[in-house]
Amino acid sequence: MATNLTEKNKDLKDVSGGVQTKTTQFLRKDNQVESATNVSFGPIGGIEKIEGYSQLGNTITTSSTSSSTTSSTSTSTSTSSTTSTSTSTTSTTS
Amino acid sequence: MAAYKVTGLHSHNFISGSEELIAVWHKTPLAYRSGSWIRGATLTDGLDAYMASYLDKVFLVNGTDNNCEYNGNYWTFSENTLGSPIAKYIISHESRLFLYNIKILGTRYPSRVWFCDLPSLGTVTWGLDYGTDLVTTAGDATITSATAHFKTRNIKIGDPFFITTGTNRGEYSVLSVTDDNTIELTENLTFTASGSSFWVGSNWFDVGTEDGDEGMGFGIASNEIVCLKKNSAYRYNVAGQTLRQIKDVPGTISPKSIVNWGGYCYWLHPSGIYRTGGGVGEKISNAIEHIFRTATVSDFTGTVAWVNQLDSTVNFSIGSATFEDGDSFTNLTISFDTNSKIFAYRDYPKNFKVAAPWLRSSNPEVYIGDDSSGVFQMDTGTSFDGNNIPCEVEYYTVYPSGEEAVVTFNRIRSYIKNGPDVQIFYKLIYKPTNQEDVWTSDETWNPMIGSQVSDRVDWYFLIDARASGVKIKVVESGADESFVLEKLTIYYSSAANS
Repeated sequence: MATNLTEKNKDLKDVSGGVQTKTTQFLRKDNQVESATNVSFGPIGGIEKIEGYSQLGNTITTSSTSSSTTSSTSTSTSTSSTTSTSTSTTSTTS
Repeated sequence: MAAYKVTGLHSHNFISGSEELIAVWHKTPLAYRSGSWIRGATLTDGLDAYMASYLDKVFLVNGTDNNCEYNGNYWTFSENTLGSPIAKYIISHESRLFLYNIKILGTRYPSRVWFCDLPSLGTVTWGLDYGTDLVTTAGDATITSATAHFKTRNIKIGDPFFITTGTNRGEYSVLSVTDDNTIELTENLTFTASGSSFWVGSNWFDVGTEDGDEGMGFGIASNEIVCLKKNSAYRYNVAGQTLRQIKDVPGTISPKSIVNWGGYCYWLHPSGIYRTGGGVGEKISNAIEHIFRTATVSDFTGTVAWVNQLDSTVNFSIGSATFEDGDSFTNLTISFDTNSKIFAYRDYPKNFKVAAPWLRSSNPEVYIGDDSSGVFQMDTGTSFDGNNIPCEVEYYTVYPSGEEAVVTFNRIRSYIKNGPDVQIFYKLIYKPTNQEDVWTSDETWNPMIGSQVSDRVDWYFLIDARASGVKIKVVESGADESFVLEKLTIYYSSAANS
């Protein structure tokens, strides 16, 4: 489309002010935005999408390999005392 | 297979070279080692657990079970945690372990902090002993307990000695420790008795005891321990053994929202996000106050926070939330950039229960545990575990010629790299109507006409886009490398010339 000679322009090139919802629209600074979801202002003045996430290993299940533990014999009868036996199983790792 | 929430997460890189992430899940802590989850001790099911690294071991507390430790080979309740009070929270600082909101002989002391003795030869004692078999003789200062370990557990001269049941109930003082089973007090006891309950030790201090509140967790600021309760915050100087209240800030009801970064301790309260550098506290969330004033949040208590050390952000995962304007979030996460002091939101498609940093192979990483048996590395890759990352930015209304003038909006030139999936929407604000003194604004978003097929593209408004102002929203959703939005230029004409 040909440029309209009477056309004017307004740049929005700085959003380094981040999200601000405390004031009315008339008091906000030019570099502030009303909302920004899943973006970062990493490049100063600009916007890019955030990074994601990925699972570590497999989902935890009850078939995880067990490790050995030492037994615990508490000498105080009023505390909760857990006991465990030393075992080493070769169950399937998760 | 039943799914359970991950209730604790902590990383520890052992001196041996083994780098491990420990997750507490269902009834057990598990160590992630060599690509597998290795199950450890047995705990009470489903309790929130907190861990600390100390003496090249990981110490675990959950407020109900005896405290336990992990040395990279096995879990145990009977080495360095023996004699420690059951605790809800734990922190390692200045060569000691500190326990908060503790329990001794079944009695909870919600505002009490207990700390260990300084370590010796790689082991630690707690300066605490307790039992229910105390034997006393009328007119005699000597007391005995067949099951005690007074010397072994480092009970000291001058320690307060509390007899909590029976006819001699009261507070006394230790004159000397004869052996593991015998102590002489500074005064004679009045009655002969047996089977009395007792505890002895001085490694403790109380945080605001008379306020009916309870300890909710630890932080660090200016090399001091920040002790948070629900309604107040305190700072404890270890060397000086002094406790002072941090005035005019509340505490937290969200223990997992407490994080430390850049000399500050940050935490979340239902009234906002706070931080302290040690001296004073301040609320930092004023710019996004609507989240705490008007938004509907399902539950602040489960807020999980983490620090991204690479971009210096402190992030608070609040959970399900709906703003007053109707915007809803599955897992609203507030991200605060500590360098630029600005906020942004995130919305994740899963609930986070715990978070922990991990320096893994020299890379600073962050991990979270969810409510469905999963542990995830955060801030990595271009997808949410294979799913698109939806994002949007909503600009404030732009009035190119001021709020009073009416212009005709023609087009927007967008400078966006790598943005083939970007869409741009707009709303016209204060459009003239048939009535001279009435203006209306668009209630719904209008799609702009165009496509970001290159790094610089023109998008067009629908016909008759006359108004005083325009709101713009940029939206994208995908699992590919991110776009970079550098600039939008709005082209408009004065109404007389359009």
